Amino acid sequence: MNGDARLAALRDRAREWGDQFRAAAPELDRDPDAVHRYLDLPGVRHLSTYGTPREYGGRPLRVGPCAFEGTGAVEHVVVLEELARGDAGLTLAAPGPSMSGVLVDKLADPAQRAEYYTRIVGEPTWTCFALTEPGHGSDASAMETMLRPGADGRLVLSGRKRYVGNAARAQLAVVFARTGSGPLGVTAVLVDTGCAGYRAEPLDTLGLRGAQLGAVTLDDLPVEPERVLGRHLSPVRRGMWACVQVFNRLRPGVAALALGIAGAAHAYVVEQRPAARGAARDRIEELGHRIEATRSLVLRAAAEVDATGDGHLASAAKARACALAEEVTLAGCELLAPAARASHPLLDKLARDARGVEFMEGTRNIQHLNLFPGLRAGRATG
Amino acid sequence: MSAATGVSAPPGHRRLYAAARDEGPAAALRALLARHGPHALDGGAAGHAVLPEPAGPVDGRVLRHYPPPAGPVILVRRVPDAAPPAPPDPPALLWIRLGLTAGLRTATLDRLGERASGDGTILMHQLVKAQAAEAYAGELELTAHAASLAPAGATTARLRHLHSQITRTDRAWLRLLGAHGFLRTGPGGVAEVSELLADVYLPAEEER
Ligand SMILES: Cc1cc2nc3c(=O)[nH]c(=O)nc-3n(C[C@H](O)[C@H](O)[C@H](O)COP(=O)(O)OP(=O)(O)OC[C@H]3O[C@@H](n4cnc5c(N)ncnc54)[C@H](O)[C@@H]3O)c2cc1C
Repeated sequence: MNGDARLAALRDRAREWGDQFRAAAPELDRDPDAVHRYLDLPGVRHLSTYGTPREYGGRPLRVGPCAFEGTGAVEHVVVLEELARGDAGLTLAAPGPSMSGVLVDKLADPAQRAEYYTRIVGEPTWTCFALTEPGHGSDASAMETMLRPGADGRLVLSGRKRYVGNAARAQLAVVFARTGSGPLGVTAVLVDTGCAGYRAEPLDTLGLRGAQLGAVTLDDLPVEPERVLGRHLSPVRRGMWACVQVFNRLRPGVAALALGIAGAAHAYVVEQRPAARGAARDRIEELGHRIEATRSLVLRAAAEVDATGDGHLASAAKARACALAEEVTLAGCELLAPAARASHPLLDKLARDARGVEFMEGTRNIQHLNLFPGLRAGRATG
Repeated sequence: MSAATGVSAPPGHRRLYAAARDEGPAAALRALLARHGPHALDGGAAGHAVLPEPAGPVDGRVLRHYPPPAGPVILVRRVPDAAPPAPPDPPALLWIRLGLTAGLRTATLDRLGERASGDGTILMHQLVKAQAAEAYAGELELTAHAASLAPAGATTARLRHLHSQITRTDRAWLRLLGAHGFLRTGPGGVAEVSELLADVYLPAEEER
């Protein structure tokens, strides 16, 4: 089977899963804790161990004759787009390695990997990736959370994090903290959230409510030195550098989530206005073309990440897809006026969700600033 | 004079504009009801109403609650056989939303002006300055346009355009607010109710 046919088969499978996500969406929007009722959905189960290496019990996804190992960005964006077309909230609410897994993959030593993945495959395990702080979002390197040597040979983690997805339900957290000044003075630790000193409270967000963003307080939390990720690596290769690598890898996925939201809004408008004529029909068609165009970019960006690890195209894709999600959902509300948001709860939810992807893994401005060096170097044209 | 330099809300709408800007949607909607009577908000184009709480006896089903600072405000689906709604006051709605935009602008500038980034604040990044100025220029244009609108000129198409641009201007401020603007209990929640007002009270552009 050629690559396109493989991806088409994967997309079909993920679309079935996404349809199940859509049915769960309203409940999760009202009550993020409802995620516990959806752990047996195949899409949620897929996410809950996604990317786990075979040696730790990970199993490839089989679709017909094709096997997908869960290591490629391209296959991941295909799945994420379709799941988000069902519900981006549930996609983000699912247990599993998600962002933290990419960091673990990059930095963890064998013992850390074994512990992490054993828990991931053992039972549904939520993880979170705590980087943003109340005072520092885009400029994450200015973080104030500290990791200091304690009295008993252990380390002590203290500080605050904010807007962290799944923070209040996570059993495992990777937390970024400062050990010293400058870019090399940043490190990440693997935290068991059951430890005294970890407290997370959900935040009341407008959209993507399934993701249950949280505010985290780290109150002199004791950390064993063995839990410092990348402790066997040089300071250059852990901390902020690793963070940038993780974002390069994940960014096409966020673009895919935005694309899924746009696609869902578009499909809904098409369904609600099958007989649209004139300017309305033209507008609906144009939105469809724009979604296709952005999908091409997202897929290319993912292929680039797979091939080289370069994140320039991914920045372009993320910025474009998030702008598209906002535009398509707003246009959808205009096309289904009057009272589109009041009468169509699904569209209302999509319009709220679309606003949130903008901030994940770097705002549009930050993506544009990432893209610019690629533009100058001629890299972004591929 | 509105905060958008050089452009005044017309005298009849100045109070609504100021209430929206300084106190938020619930206060502005209360001021509207005080001015036009208790049924002034009943005329949602598809039978909905957005009402400040406490709303008294509601002629319909409450669909959603919006907490402060956007509210307390409720979205109501009026019962189908309720008395025919009074015609809404379209320019009033426009000025309320423009007042909410002005409040959102202030909230964003205050936040970014205090938020450290590098050696300065986020607001002082050239890119951010340009985006803030662009959003503000859009707001000035909208305010000027609204102020110049004669009653006969307030056609559905023109109102839809104005409201759509208000929404897009607000979205620009919301992007600048960062994740803080994604919380229901902050300026993002206010913008949400502003969008809802346009959604509920604007008729469709064309025959459907
Ligand atoms: C749905 C969602 C999920 C999230 N998940 C996580 C998570 O799991 N873990 C985590 O740690 N964080 C998470 N975040 C937080 C996210 O990473 C931050 O919101 C993001 O980094 C932006 O930071 P901020 O919100 O503080 O905005 P700010 O940094 O305050 O930025 C405000 C505005 O200023 C602009 N700006 C800032 N600096 C510059 C600059 N140098 N040049 C130009 N413009 C600039 C920004 O583009 C933005 O428009 C999540 C947020 C959301 C909404």
